[in-house]
Amino acid sequence: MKDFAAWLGTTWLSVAIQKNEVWAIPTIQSVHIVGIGIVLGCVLMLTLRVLGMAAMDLTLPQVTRRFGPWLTGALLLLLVTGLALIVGEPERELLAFSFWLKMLLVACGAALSWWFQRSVRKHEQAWETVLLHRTRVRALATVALLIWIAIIFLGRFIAYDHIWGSLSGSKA
Amino acid sequence: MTLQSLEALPVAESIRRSLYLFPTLEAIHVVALALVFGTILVVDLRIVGIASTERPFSRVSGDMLKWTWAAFALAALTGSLMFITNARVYWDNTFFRAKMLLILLAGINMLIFQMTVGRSREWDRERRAPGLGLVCGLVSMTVWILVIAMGRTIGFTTTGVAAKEAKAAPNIDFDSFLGGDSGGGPAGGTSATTASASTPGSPASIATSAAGAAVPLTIQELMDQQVNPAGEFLFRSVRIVADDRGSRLEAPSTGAQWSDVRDKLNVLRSASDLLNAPGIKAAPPGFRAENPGVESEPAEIQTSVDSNRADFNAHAARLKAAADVALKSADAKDPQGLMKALDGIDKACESCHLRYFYPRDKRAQQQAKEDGVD
Repeated sequence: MKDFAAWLGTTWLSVAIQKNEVWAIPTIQSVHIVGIGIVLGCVLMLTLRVLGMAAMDLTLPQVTRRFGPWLTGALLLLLVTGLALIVGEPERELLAFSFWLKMLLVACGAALSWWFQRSVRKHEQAWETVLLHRTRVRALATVALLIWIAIIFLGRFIAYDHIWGSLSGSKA
Repeated sequence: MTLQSLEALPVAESIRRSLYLFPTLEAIHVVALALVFGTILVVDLRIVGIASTERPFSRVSGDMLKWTWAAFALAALTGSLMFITNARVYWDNTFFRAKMLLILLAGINMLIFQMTVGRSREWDRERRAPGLGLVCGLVSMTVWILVIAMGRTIGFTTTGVAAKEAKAAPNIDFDSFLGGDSGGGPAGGTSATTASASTPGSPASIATSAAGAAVPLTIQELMDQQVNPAGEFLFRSVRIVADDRGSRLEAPSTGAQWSDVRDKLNVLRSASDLLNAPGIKAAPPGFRAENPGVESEPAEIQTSVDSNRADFNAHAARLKAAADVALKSADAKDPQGLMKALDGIDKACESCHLRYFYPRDKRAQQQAKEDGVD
C-alpha cells in the first residue's frame, strides 16, 4: 500500500492537486462536507420517518421518493470528491487506519441505503403496513443514522491518525 | 474578558493537553454543521420550489427547523470550545472573521424571512415562495455553503498552509546530490526551506496566509519546515561511509554542492533568529505531541519556554553560533571541519530538546550524558 500510495502521488492528477494544494485541498474538502450535509439531512429524514417522528403526513414511499435520489446523488458527489482527496494526498489517506475503518462503514452505509430504497420501491404496501412497525426495522434505521455519524467522525480522525497508536500506518 | 484570559480557562487548558478532546470536538462540530446545512437545505429547497414542493411549507419547516436549531447549538458549543484553546490565533484569522460575519448574515437573512414571507400562510401550498422569499432561500443556501468553506479554510490557515507557502521557493536538486536516496514525501518538496529563509531576518519570519494575514511561525512549524529538513540535508551531506571498499569520508565536492550546504546553514541561522521572536507559540492549535509520554505536549512546552525565555533564547543563540562555525568550514570547503562543526550543531539541538522537547525521556538523558551533551 505504501508503494501504491507513493506511485499514486506521482500521477499527473495528483501532481496537479499538490501544485495547487493551498486552495485545491480546502475547496475539495468543502464540497465534500456539503455532500456530507446533504447525506446526513436525507438519512435523518428517512430515519425519523421510519421512527414515526417526522413527515407523518406523507407515506414512507413518498418520503423515500423525495430523499432517496438526493441521498444517492450526494453519495456520488462524495465518491468523486473523496477520490480526488485520495489522489491529492495518497499517503495521508491510504496509510490511515481511520480511512480504512471509514471505508468499511461507507460500504455498510451505502449497501443499507441501496437495499432500503430498492425494498421500499418493490414492496410499498408491505412497508407502509407491516414493516414500519417492526422493532428490528426501526432499530436498523437508527443504526443507519449512527453509521453515517461514525463515518463523519472517522473522516475527521484521518487528520489525527496517530491517536490509534500502532494501528496507524501513517508516520506523518 | 480578553482573548488571553479565555485561553487561560481551565477547560481550554484541558482540551489543549488532551490527545483526544480537540479531534473529538472537531468531529462533533462537523456532524453538527452537516445537520445544520442538511436540514436547512431541505427548507430552502422547498422555499425556492426545487424539492418537497407538493408538501405545505409550514409542515416542511416544522419538521426540520427544530433539528436545525439543536444542531446549531451543538455546533456553536463545540466551536466555542475549540476557539478558546487558541483564541488569539483564531481571532486574528481572516477566514474565522469571515465565517462569523457570514453566520451573522445567515441569522439576519432568516430573521427577514420569518418577519415577512415566512409569516404569511398564503403561499403555504404553492410551489414556491413569492419574490423576497426566493431571495432569502437562495441567500441562505449560498451563505451556509460559504460558512462551510470558510470553516474548512481556517484549519489550513492557522496551521499548515501559511507555513507551506513560505517554502514555495526553488528547490535544490536533493536527489542527485544524495545519490538518489532522498526520502522524499509525495509533495516532492523535501528540500523544502527557501532561498528567502536563508537570509537572516528576512520576511520568511512571517508567512503570509492566503488572505494576506500575517501569521508568525510556531516552534513546531519552524522545526518541521526549516530546521529539520535543513538538518537532515546537512547530516547527510558529509558522512563516513564504510563498505567492502573500506571506509571513507563522503563530502560535497563541487562548488554547487558546497553552496547548497551554505544555504542550509543559513536556514539554521535564520531559524535561530525566528526562535527569538517574542511571544513565540509552541505549536499550531490542535497540534499534539507525536510521541506523547516521551515528548511534552505543546502546552507544556509553551509554559516551559515562556517561563525560561532567557534560557530558551540562549539555546537558540547556541544553534546560530554552531551554524557560524560550520559556515567557516563550508567557506573553506573543509569536509573534516564541517563534520566536526555538524557535531556541534547536533549537540546544540539535543541540549535544547532535552530541556524543552522531551525532558521526561530518561533514555535520551542517558545517551546525552554519554555523548557529552551539556
